[in-house]
Amino acid sequence: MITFEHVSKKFADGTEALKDINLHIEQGELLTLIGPSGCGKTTTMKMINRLIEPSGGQISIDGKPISDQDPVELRRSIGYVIQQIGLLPHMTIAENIALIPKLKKWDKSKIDKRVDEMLNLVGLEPSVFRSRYPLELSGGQQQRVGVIRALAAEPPIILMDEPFSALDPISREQLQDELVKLQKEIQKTIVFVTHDMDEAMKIADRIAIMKDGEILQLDTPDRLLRHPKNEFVRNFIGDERMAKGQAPTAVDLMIQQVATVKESRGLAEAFRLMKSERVDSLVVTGPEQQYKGVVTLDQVQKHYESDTKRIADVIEMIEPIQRNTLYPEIAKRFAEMQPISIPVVEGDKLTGLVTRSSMMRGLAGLEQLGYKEEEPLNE
Amino acid sequence: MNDENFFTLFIETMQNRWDDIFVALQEHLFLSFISIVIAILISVPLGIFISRHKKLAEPFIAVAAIFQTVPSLALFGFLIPFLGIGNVTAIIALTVYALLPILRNTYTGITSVDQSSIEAGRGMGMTSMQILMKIEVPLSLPVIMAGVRTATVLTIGVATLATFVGAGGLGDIIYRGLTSNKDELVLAGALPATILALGFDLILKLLENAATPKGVKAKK
Repeated sequence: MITFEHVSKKFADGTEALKDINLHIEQGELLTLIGPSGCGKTTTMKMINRLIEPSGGQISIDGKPISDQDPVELRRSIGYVIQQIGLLPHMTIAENIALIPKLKKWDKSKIDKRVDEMLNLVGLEPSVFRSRYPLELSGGQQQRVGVIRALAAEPPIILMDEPFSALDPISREQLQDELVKLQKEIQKTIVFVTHDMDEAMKIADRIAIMKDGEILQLDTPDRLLRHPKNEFVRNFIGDERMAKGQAPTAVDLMIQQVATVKESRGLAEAFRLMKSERVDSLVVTGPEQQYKGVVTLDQVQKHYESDTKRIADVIEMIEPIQRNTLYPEIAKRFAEMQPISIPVVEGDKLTGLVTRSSMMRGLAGLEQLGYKEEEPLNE
Repeated sequence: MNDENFFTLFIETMQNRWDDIFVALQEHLFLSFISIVIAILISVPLGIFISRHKKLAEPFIAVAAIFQTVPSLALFGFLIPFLGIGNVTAIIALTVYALLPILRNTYTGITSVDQSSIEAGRGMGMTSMQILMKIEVPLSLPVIMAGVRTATVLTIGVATLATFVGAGGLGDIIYRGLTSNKDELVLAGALPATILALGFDLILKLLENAATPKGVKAKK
């Protein structure tokens, strides 16, 4: 779909930003360009919509060289999202989203429909947000609008220049998740520049690691982790991924989809729920997900005959762990108390459950990324 | 002369000379208005031009600033040998005076528009003209309007000197008062000029507020 052939760039001051880049980006793939600052990742991306012209080589889209196309027309068929978001502060959210469709002279009813459709896509209620101004929105909301503005005119290609790196960590995570979800739905070709390896690993179909104007390795996240081509790649992945080789915590090892039940329910109901969820224990929670305890299949069966008993009567308290409890501590709890599973809480609210199998899966996943379990110390 | 006397004299003067004063006021308005319009027509496009060619910005603004530093009376006098006396001379002198505030504010306004908005616009496929008209001008309009306001108040004040090149205006009344040593007549010319300047200042202040885009006000 997008092809770079021997593309190079020398800036006027003599710096060689890119050396002989050859790159083929597939239709519908999300490719991230990553590398230390000054590696040429942004330059590479900006060449695709001709914000920067190459000094040598050729870039084509669908086989047509972009140097033959009118830059303005070309850009209107390529979505563009930038780190600083760049919404126009004097226009409402609806006007911002409608910008390119308007320049493309879509008719008004089609634009209005499209604006609402786009807002719904990222969970912003049209009736609320259409007439708001960008500065009235949070950073995360603004960048959601930035993303849908790029999508509005249905471009087949979208360029994203570190779109989430100025956001707070929570919004960043959410937007990354939404982008992955969105990408599955809309199947656009996305070129995504980032310096954050976690982000790249999370969202990319393929990652191009760049350094000093060259692509060192272009591979899927999995293959990059398994077969880093050289020391630089290994370090670049390693440094960013496994911060200090720290032991995994409960969050890495837990499942989030937990079968829960309220304590006021009857035993028959608990039994039915266990059957349908195929579990032999349920986590009991209060009205706002507060952790109350666990009810096991054994206990339910033991008291099943008495139909006045409710879950509150057969509940067992298993001491929960916190999200940041480290793996060795969790392993010790399993060894000592032999629980079926250990609930994970944040404050008093349930956020997940570590079971033996979820722990094994979590560890296996992390080992691939370089975490080595240390030999247990003899006490 | 006691105060009460002067006040009565002033009222009488206003009544007796109202026709003269009214004509002078109209001339004054005419001179100021034409000069401001011409100054806007020159300075705004020029300001946009130098915001695109930043190397030229300093020299252009410096020239406008030099005009501004020439004492106004001297500038009127200086133009007479070339242009003779009359409205044209007055309008040219006043225009020259009004250039700097508008030019400088236009330049500052355009160059201080958030670069990310412009980059986003360009990256999405807006032409330079669309970026100018849809992004840069609307966002810098309050600053440009502030320049127009400064220039207007300044021009209305300086226009009292138009009388020395025979272009009339409220300066006529003031000058007549000075030469005939009638303070009440000086005041009868000066007061309307002051009210005119304050009135325009107020109107333009309202226009400036109206020119501030709603979404930009929201953040304050």
